[in-house]
Amino acid sequence: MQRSRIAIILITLFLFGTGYIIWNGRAVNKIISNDAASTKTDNQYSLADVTIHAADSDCWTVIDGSVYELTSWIYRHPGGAKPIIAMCGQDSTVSFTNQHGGSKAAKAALVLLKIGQIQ
Amino acid sequence: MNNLSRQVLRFGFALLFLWFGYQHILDPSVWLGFLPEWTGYLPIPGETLVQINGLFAIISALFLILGVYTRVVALILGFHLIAIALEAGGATGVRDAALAMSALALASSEPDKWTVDFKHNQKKLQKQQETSINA
Repeated sequence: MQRSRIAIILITLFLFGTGYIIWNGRAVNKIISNDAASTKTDNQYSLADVTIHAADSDCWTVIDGSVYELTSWIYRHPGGAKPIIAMCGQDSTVSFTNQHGGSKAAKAALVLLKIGQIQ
Repeated sequence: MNNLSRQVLRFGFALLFLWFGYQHILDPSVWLGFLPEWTGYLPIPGETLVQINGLFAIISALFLILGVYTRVVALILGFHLIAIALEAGGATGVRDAALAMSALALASSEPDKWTVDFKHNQKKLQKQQETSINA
């Protein structure tokens, strides 16, 4: 009886903790996405600005005239890190379109990573 | 395995998962590289997944420290480590596979004397003896 009670308390703690983490994560993401939305039109970068960020530790790319910060995405890309690393510091519109075409999932993944427009 | 060995193994595992769990919650961005690629399709951000995994590790460590359902928890952690080992591969994979085997060793042994499980089993045994005497 005592053992079951302790287990129930710990599982409840886990469930509440998970709920809090998801809620907190969504709140933080909302702030970030609002910030990103406000800067989407404000930030203007040249291709030269993008080429500086050509490392896997600091990775920017250009797709269809928009600039994306891909550093956090590199090791989460379902197709592996290599294709993303190859995109760092350059205009990768062609390689993205060839690989994903009209994929809604790929475009949705890009939305939160947008940091501005190319000049 | 004697009582002391089981205690060392149990507390060792609890310490391991407490430390990793704390690190996952404290700085999730450092651990993003260890997430499997398929998590990229989930609607949950990577940092949140790492933090949930950290909480899971801490709660599992608490189960081990108290010795509550020790064998079940050790079995779950063993499979969790096998999954990480397969995903990570290389030196990290070998290390985690070895840790997974230790977890499975803990899961296959009887709970030591400092666990809630042991006291629970003792009480159960005592009750069984009492009922058999009364009968």
